[in-house]
Amino acid sequence: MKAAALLLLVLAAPADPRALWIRAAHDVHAKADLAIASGNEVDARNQLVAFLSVPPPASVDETNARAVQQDIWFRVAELDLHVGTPSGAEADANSGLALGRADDLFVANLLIVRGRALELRHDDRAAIADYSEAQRINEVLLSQAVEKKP
Amino acid sequence: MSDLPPSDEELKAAQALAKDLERHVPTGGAHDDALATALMIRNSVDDELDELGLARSKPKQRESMLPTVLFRAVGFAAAAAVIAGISFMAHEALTPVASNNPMDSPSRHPVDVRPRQAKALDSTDVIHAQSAAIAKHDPAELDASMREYRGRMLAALESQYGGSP
Repeated sequence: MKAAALLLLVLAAPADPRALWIRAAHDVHAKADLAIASGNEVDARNQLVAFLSVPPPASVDETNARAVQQDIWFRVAELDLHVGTPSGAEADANSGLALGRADDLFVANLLIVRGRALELRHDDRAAIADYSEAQRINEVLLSQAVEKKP
Repeated sequence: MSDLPPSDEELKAAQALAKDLERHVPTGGAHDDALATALMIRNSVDDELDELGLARSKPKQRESMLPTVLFRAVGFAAAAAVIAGISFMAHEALTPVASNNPMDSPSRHPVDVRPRQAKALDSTDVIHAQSAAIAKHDPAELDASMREYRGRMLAALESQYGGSP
């Protein structure tokens, strides 16, 4: 009886806002995937940007929040590249990078997509700098991955 | 090798070399120069990969390090401009070496028997995709490779925060 009451309490308890935010991120990726699959990249971009317009709950770990948001900015930038607006892609990547820097996948992804945008805008020197920095991060990540392997 | 930003002249020269190499049809008297450059790059890449301790029995790891090694082997300016053009040549240069190495026999490759959970956030595939994206100057494949990693990451985070992914 006590166990049943406890189960009811657990089921009735409001979900953790952090988990809800992560779930919302998962859902918006899924919606964007569907929109892209049906050829509606503008809708996909709008969905992703709408998610980014709402700040994460303050209790979400800063690193986790940055990773989730930077990953979405990467997708937005990639979509802008795909539809032929490199200036928008560069701005998207800048917005993502403004959230913070670290030697991780998400920052490297943003540097790569910004590098491509800069290339398309004929700013080769800036593109080289971004590719080089992304390559440095990639080397760090590869070393870490190799060390982790048995 | 200098880490100084390349001059416009260096960039133009490297871009011209990249086009020659990519076409495999060097023009005028540049043919021998292009071949010599390709050979130099090929040897340098192999040497650098050996020095990095990346065994020839691990071609995937060697391949993923190519962009970095190319930067070291041919210099920053040339590599940055040439990388898309010659990366396939370096890859081709590595392949015969790897395939002739008995360590590359499929039977010598360890079988990964770890449970799926242990590899929950293994980012190796994404790292390889990043290298490819840098070499090809195209993040499109990277976006695709991120899909699986992203799903696992979000599931792990949701679980961490008490949700039920």
